[in-house]
Amino acid sequence: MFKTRVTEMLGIEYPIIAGGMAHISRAEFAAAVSNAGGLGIITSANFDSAEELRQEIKKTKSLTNKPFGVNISLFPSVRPLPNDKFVETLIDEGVAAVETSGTRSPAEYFPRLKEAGVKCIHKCAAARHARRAEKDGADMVTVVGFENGGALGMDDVPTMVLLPVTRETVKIPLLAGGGIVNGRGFIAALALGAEGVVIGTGFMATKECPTHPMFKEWMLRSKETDLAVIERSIGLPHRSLRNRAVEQVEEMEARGATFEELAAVVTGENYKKAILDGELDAGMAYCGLAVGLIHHTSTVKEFIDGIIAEASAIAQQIASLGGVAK
Amino acid sequence: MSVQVKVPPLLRQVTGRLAVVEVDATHVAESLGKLEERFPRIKGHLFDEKGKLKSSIIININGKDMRSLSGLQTPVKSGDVVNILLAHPVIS
Repeated sequence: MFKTRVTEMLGIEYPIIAGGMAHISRAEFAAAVSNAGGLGIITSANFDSAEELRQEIKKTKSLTNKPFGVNISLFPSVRPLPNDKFVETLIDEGVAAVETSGTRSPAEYFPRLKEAGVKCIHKCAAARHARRAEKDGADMVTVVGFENGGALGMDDVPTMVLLPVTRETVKIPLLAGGGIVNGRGFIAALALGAEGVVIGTGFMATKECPTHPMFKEWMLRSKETDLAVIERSIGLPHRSLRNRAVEQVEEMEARGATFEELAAVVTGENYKKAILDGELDAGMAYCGLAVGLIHHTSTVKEFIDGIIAEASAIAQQIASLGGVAK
Repeated sequence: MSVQVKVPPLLRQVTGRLAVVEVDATHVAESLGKLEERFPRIKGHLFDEKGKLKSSIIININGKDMRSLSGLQTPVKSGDVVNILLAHPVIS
C-alpha cells in the first residue's frame, strides 16, 4: 500500500522518513523507524569524527537489517564538520541513503555517493533549491513548508503551496515535510504532489525517541499556537515551543541583539537540556506547528501504522465521493 | 561584473539594510576589506579585537566553505559570490 518511487528506490515498506534531527537522531531511534517500515536517519553532525559515526552506523546495523540513512549537515557551523570523511565512512559501511540539508549545495558529494549506489535525498525549504538539487543530481528531494519545526528557510511558504509549486518543475520523487503527523497530512501530501513524507515533530513524541518524557508531555499539552519563530535575524529561522528561553531570544532579536548575545542563549547545550534532560525552560525546544495534532505518545511502529491506516481510510472515503474515474 | 558579497540579516543593520554588496576584489580578504571600507561598523561584527575572523562567521565562496579552500586568501573573480553566514549555535 502506498508504493511510490520513494519506497521503490529506498527499498522500504512505507514512504515515511524520520528527518535527521540534531542530538536526537541516533542509532536506536533510527533503527526503530526502519524496523517499522520507514527510513530511519542518523545525524552525522552529532559526532566529531568519522570513527564515531562508523560506530553509530555499526550499532544501527546491529539493531535493524532494514535500510537506513545518514544526514549530512550543510548548515554553517563553528566546528568544521568532517563531511568528506563522513561520506567516505557511510559509503564504506554500505549505508542505503543520505539526507543532505543546510544552506549550501550538496553537489560536491553526489558523484561519489551515486557511484557507490547510495540514494541521495536533499532536504530544502524552497522550490528553487529543489530544482537546483535535481540539477545537481539528487535522486529525491524533500521540501519543508513553513509549518516545519527546526529550520524553516527564509521564504515562509507553507506546505500547501510549496509542494505543488515544486511539483510543477521538479521531476524526481518529491518528499513533503512540515505539518505532517497523521494520515490526513500524509494523504494530503500525496495529493499535493509528494511521493512520501518526512516527519520530525511527530516522531519526537514516540516512545523510542530520546526526547525526555517531560518534553513529550509538554508536546501533548501544546497547541499549534504555542510556538514562535526565532533566529530569523541570523538568517536561520527556527520554530520552537514557547518557553522562557524563547521569549528571551524574541526580546533580544526585537532590540537588535548581537550574534554573540544570541549565541549565549541559543546553544546546543541549552537545547539538549530542554529536549533531552527535561529542563523545559533551559533552551530552544524546536518543534513544528503540527504539535497541536499530537494527542498521545505511541511506539514508532504504532505511529507509522496509524498514519497508514488513517490514510487508507481517507483514500477510500474520498474515492467513495464519486470523483474517481472508472 | 564584480564580486557579490552577501550579508546575513543580522549584519544588515550596518550595511543600510543592503543584503548584497558588490565589490572589486581578487581574494576573500580583499572582498571583506572593501566591504569594511564602505561600512566601517561591520568590522567589529566580523573580526575580534586581534583582527582575526570570528569563529562564528562562516564564509562560503560560491557555496563552498572557505575553510575547505584557502581561507581568507581564497581567490575570487568577477561573478563569484562571497556569502557571509552566521554559524548556527545549536549545531556548533
